[in-house]
Amino acid sequence: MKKIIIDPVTRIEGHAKISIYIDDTGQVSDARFHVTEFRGFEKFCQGRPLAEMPTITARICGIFPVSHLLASAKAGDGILAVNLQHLN
Amino acid sequence: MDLVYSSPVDSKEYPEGVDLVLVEGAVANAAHLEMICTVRERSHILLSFGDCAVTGNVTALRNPLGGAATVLQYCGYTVDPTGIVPQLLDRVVPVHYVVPVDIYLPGCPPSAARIKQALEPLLQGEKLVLAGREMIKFG
Repeated sequence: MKKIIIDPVTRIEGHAKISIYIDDTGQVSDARFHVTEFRGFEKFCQGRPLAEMPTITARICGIFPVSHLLASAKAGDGILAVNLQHLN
Repeated sequence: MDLVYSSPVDSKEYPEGVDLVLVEGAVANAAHLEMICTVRERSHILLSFGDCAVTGNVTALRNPLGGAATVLQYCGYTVDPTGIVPQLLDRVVPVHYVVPVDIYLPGCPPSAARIKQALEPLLQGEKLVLAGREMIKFG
């Protein structure tokens, strides 16, 4: 059983490794993609004030802060049962 | 000026004799710990770049939840048995908790203007003065 590890994986945002397992007949028996970063946003946001969510989730990604900010703001609007359509 | 180590530069190993390195992000797992020690050894000036590197910031928000095992359990994950995914540290710490830092550049993120104002004197070999709201305000 041979193992090939590709480290680091380039051309992505963030960090990852790839491991490829080759059995004795030379065939790929398994291949895995490993995300090597972890922060725990889903858990540490719990218990925090609602109004903090857009600013905290915006920090999930530096390239896509706006998507997270909007999504969490809209989720907050939904929780508060607020309709902001008249502002458009 | 040569950019010798970064994502767009496909360098596998951190080179020796680096004049200036901007380190972003906090130290959160064993691989980061190893990396930052290597970076400190091989660099002349180490700049802590951004609030995560300076204070831990958002990355360190998992610290109150408990140690690595507790946090992973809360999130429903188990430790990778193959050991390919680096082990989480029990506490996320800023860069200066691990290695001496020469310059701190806070910001979440530091604005382009702030980065320019910090890098210009450094690239000329001059001393950097960091003062005032535009240069050292967090967030």
